[in-house]
Amino acid sequence: MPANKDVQTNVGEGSVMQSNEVQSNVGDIDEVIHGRLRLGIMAYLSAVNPASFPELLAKTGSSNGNLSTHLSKLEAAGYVRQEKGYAGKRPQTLVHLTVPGRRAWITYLEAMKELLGS
Amino acid sequence: MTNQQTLDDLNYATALAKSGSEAPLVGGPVGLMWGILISVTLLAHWGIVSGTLAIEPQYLWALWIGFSALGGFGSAILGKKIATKPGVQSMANRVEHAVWSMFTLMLACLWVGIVISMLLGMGSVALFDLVPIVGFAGQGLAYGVTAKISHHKWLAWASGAAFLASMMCLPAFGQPVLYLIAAIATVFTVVVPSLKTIGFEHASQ
Repeated sequence: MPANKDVQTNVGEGSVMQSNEVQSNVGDIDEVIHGRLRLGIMAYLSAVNPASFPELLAKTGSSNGNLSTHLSKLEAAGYVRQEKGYAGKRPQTLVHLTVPGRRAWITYLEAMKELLGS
Repeated sequence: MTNQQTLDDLNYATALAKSGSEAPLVGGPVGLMWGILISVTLLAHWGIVSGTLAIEPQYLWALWIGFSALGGFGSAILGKKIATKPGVQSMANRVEHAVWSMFTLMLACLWVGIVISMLLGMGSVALFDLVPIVGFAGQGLAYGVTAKISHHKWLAWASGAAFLASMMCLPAFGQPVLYLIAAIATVFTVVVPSLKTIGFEHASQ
């Protein structure tokens, strides 16, 4: 779990993480979400659900391929659902935040709040 | 990943979440189209029933059927454009869409009910005067709900103006002047709020 390790190490450098409670919160950090772009996707979808693929592209400032890759990872975890369809005659992909995805997002935010002590 | 990077990423996520939750209302163009159409139609209705326009009152049916057809067509065209706008699925936009859809359904039910009453010989043409009165009250409700969800306080003023218009129309029930009052009030309760919504949307881009 590289993401978890990184956070655990660095938080340790800053604030000397000693309590078991905090350490267990580090374990709560969902590595599927914990990445800049995936974090951004989840954050935006928590407010705008569903969002179209071009909308996510514009909001996250990501490239087409990069966004697709990260959406696939979130979809594999069951956090988002991609719906291929048409808007008029144009193909359109809508990305939905799923119920487990919203739950995971809230858990992630709680864990990060605990971890960063805010 | 350092703590600073983690914080930066969280700030980035927060900014994205905010941009979504603060997405502007996107229904302005549809509101503006309906506002202009309703004002013109109500004015024409007043012109016909008051005798200002040399048109027989039996053509009121054609006027309102034309209104419905034009409004439906315009909504379909503008709706397609709106559907692709960023933030269209934000909570505020979904609520706005839902309340105005229910508003339209409410007025359609009222209208059909009046037509049925008339077909059964139990109603009079004056019953149609209920449509603008109930319509303004419905607008007040729709704006009020949207104001609460979107945190746009000025929409609460639009809500108050619509409730006031409903009250002002009621004493004119059964008189041609009702439609003149309704036409003028629509400018303030639909056209102006829609222009303001469009202005906010453009400012946020």
